[in-house]
Amino acid sequence: MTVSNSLLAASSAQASDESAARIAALEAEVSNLLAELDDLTLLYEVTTEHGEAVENQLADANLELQLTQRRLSEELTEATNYIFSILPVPRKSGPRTRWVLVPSTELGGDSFGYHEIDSDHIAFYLLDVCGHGVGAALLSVTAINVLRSAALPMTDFRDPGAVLSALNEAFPMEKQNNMYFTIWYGVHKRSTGELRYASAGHPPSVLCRTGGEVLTLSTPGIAIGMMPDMVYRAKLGEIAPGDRLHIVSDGTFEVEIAPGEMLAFADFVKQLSVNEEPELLLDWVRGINGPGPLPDDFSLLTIDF
Amino acid sequence: MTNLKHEVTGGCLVLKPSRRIDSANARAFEEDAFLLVDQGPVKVIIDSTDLDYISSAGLRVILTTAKKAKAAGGGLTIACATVNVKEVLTVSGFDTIFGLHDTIEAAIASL
Repeated sequence: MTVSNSLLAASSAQASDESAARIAALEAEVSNLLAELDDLTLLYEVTTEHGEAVENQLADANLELQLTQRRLSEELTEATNYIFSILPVPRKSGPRTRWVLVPSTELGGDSFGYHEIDSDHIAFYLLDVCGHGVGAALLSVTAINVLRSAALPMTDFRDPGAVLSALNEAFPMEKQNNMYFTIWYGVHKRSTGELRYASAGHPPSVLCRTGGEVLTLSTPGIAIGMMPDMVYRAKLGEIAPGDRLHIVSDGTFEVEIAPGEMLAFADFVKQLSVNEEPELLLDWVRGINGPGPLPDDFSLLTIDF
Repeated sequence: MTNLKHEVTGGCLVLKPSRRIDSANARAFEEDAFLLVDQGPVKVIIDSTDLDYISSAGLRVILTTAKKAKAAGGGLTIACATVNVKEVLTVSGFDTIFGLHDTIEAAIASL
């Protein structure tokens, strides 16, 4: 072996050592990468599994929400059905009655009724509990049931002043979750044509007489339950055959004719006096209000004597 | 600090709401009015000069303010109502319960 040959052999051996080291390093790197890949695969699997679990949980929660929503809306529908079920059926004659009630939300605070107190007297009433929703509807129904079943102690239901005073004693707002209600209550005596009426913070009723005269009927007094010890007094009017009486809630006319400008009660009365069907008045008010629900419950009870 | 315009005149707290008291701002009115009544005086006048409209939600907070003022040994009355507001106050019976005055001076004298 020559010197140059032995040098060559030495250099070749060195090169082979370097290659081996590089290969070993690469192999180590590959093994590291494989380990990382395993970790990532594991992480991916765990995440997917967790994601599926979360998805399942969400689906369960969603289903539960849907069931709750359905149950609540069924219960609201049932409450609405109950309220409409206690409203009286329209009378065909003696006198004839027609009405329309449209709550602004699912449940409103308006309700009304009429019943014969005795063979000579018939009572008509419409009340409006402040606010909307379940609470207002509950008080509304309670008050109507009290009137319908004449369940006020020592009260002559032929005397509207006595009825409102007794209601005010029975329903103080402090004991009714701070709710109160406005009401118009009238009693017609068939034998004489007399109409006794009283109102508590409620819009006047509108009497359209056969001769064309239009009267608004109300008495002073604040809403039932607002203040203790209030005394309400009835006024006396007269009804002739052919007269028409409209009892309304404030939601029938409290709509904006322009931004910030409310429909005037006088204009509403004018429209009411030429109106033949409660539904037509509802259409008229909806036309003014524009699309969307009315801001308040709409109730109109029309009585043809 | 309240947004409700107010001043103390003749020993009375004069509240001067502007434009409307309706369901959109009734709660804010009530909060401000309660705070001011707490600070006193507790004789309260609602100056309705700048008021165009009161809804039933607005009537409710006038009532609650009146009850608060009364409980504190004071009272509440209403002054300078415009035609529309006067109509609402009359229908609701607030005119007879709280009184309705043409001037702030008359309102002060009544409390």
